[in-house]
Amino acid sequence: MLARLFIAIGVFIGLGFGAYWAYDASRLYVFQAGYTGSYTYNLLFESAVWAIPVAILLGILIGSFAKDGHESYIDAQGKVLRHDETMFFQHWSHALATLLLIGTGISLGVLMFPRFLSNPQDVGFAINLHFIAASLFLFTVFFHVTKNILTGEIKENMPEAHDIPDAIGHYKAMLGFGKQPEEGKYLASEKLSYPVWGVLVGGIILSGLIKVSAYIWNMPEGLMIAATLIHGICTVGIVLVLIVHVFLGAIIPPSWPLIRSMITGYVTEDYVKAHHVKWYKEIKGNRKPIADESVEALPNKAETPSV
Amino acid sequence: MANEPRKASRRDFLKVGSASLIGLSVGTLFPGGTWLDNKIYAIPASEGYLLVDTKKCAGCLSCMLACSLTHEGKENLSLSRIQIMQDSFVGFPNDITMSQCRQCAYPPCVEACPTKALHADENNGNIRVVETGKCIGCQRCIEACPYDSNRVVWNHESKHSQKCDLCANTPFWEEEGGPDGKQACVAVCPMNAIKFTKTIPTQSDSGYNVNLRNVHYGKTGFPTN
Repeated sequence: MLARLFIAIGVFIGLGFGAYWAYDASRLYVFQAGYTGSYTYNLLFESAVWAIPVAILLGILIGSFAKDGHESYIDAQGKVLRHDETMFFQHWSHALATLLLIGTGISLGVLMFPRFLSNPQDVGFAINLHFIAASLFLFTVFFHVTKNILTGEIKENMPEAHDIPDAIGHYKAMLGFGKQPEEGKYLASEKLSYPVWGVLVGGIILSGLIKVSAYIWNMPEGLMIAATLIHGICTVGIVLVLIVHVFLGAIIPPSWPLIRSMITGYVTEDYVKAHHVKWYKEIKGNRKPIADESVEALPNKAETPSV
Repeated sequence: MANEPRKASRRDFLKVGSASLIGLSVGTLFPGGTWLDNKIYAIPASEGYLLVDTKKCAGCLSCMLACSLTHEGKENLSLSRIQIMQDSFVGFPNDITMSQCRQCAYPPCVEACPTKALHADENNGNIRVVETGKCIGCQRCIEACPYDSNRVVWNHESKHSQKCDLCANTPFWEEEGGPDGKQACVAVCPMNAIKFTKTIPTQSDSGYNVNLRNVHYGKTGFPTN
């Protein structure tokens, strides 16, 4: 848990510095002593545009160092590691970046939604904050994609034909109709949502990179109009999918063990046995050997696993 | 085994490739390493200007409505590129302010635009225009305009900056605009208080706010000088 605490503090400190940079750059230091006076704020998308390719490449670089997927096991306390520290960092930093992007994007006006900001300094702060969040977003996405392709985890995330009836059966069972289908580590509905996320995130990144290119090259107006439209459509799509994601993954009671494990990393063996039958069959033989010091620390729990 | 050539894996390729590109990207930050163009270039002067006579203006706002109508297809004072302001607490001749774009010789709005959406249009007599599709809505051009009120205005409906283009692009008007055509505000003004000229005015308030009154105007009892 200590590692996760450090990761969370690190992400918040990083974002805090980024937010201050965005705020400071958006001020109009017209009357400040020592400045010649400027009527335009510093637009980070223009002055620090190098951070966009650096964020992408850094994501690929760090993602390429990821180790191959380790085998899941049941530990001495009857707990199963579902989300390791890498996943914790990846998920929550991506979530924070997404929320910041949605907040700043909508406040600046998307498609038919009006702009909620009028003061140029506020507009500048929102665009600069959008830049900071976009850099983090690109880093997490490219880190995730590189890691999952190199380790082969992407195969576990992608849906198969049987996932459609399984997902229907899962929600029917949740409502009290029929028997719950046997699920693997990732639920069928989770796997079905993965390509949807892929298309929306891919669309928003591609259109966003075209929009960013306008700060470097003289882009054709038609391409910019198309990119802005696609960026807006993908934004609305992501907001809708995110609402469904949060509702099914954190609000409804059956998802509470999963949201808990997204923070602590662990689910109980009982939960896996009841809801991820296929996964349980794979891991039930993998029991972590009890180390001497852990036996001393947790004698009772080690002897009586909560099965 | 020792003599076997080492094969580069996909991981190695990604590690070396991305690290090299990061180095290159960061390297551009340092002096001498930049790829930016250091050429000094001048923005060509506009071939058309609007002159006004605030002493002649009756404040009917017809020019604002015509501006909005010809450009946006609707009469909305908030969408007009020319702004007429009236102060009820100030007497003639300082009661009216006419804010038309001056098509500045050194336009700060053009310099402030990060995407070159606001530029001198070579096809239309170098008028300073906003290519709206390329505008990213940063509003820097609005803030950069040194005049009060700003001659670049925010279109709250389509969320982009807009400014006077001397009617070069008026989809809701059949007349030909631009420096060689007509301007809606000039055409509609019942007082003839707005005039188009191709001569660069003196770069001061008095260069743009001129005497457009003639002897006929004098017959109404108002001063003509």
